[in-house]
Amino acid sequence: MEDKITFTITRRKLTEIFMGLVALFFAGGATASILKYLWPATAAKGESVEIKIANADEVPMGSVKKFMFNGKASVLLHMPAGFRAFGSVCTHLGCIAYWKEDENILFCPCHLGKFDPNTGAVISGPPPSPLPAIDIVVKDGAVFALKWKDPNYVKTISFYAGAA
Amino acid sequence: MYLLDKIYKELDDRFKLRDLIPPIVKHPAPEYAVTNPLYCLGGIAFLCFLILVGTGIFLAMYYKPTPLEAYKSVEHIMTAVPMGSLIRSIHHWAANTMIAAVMLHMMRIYFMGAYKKPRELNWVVGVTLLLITTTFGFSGYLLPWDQLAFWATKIGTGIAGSIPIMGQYISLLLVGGNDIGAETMTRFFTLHVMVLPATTAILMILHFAMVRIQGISGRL
Repeated sequence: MEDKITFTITRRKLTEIFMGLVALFFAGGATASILKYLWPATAAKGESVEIKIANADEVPMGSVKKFMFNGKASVLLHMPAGFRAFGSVCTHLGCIAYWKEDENILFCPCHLGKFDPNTGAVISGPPPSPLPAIDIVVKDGAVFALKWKDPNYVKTISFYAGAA
Repeated sequence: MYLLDKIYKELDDRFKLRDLIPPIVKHPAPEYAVTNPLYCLGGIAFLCFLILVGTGIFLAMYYKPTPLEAYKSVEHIMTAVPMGSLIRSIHHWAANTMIAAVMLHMMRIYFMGAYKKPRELNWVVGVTLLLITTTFGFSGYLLPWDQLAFWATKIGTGIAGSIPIMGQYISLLLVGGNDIGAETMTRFFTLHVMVLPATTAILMILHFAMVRIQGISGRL
């Protein structure tokens, strides 16, 4: 019986432990409320919703329209192949890429990143990955943004935190 | 001087100042510390902190932490407020000097081995103060709301966002939304003028108290 583990506990010690647990419970509640208070309300709307970007005739062939999608700067392009929409926050360091008409590219001015306006793929420059595409639909003469084409990809880009 | 003596005596009679103040004020520093300017770096950092608190209070009276007003109010301080550009410049240079002084102070402590037992805890507090000082710089950088401020914050919060697993939540709490905006400004402003100064003051008191209790570390 030498290896039997014994441990004695007094009533006082037990009471102290219970009081400690109660204190922890309240401290946890307080911490949770503080975090909840600090948590931005906008973060809740991670779900994609259908939003109207523009009327189709507002964006003639070869022109663009900027809009916000899930809180991120985005761009709608009317290419010869049809409408395209991308998040325009550069995947390199988070600057906003814009439509450069004379070169037919989406261009990020910070470090000269160039993106293909049809696919969002990187043509040249430092961006590590393509601009995320947005699924769009044209109905009733208007263009609607539906959701990220690949939400899992968007989640991997730090500059799109909270957008997917 | 007679009046001052009288006031001191009145207070001394009532509060026993002679037991409180002389042990704090009349404490000789060791010869090697007085003659070596390297031992001044911590004091320079503290002096900078005092200057920053003073000028910061003045700046806060005119500064407006909203995206619409921030840049305009800074411009107003710089161009229209009498002595405004002086106050802001002092704040700017004291901030830069403080970071340099804190860094050099840390190097002095490191290379002289002053962090060794029994001063480990003071080293930890000191490094925390260094981190807080850089956080001060980072949060203050956003406040003028110009291009430099915006993109520096973008990159800074982006770095915080790249921490594995926790990153995106930390970034969300810092930015206060999906993108840098009014929420970010008020958050950084609160950090800069309330949270960080209070934390710094408390840690500095600890830092100095430990030096007083343990004494300055001797020469190598």
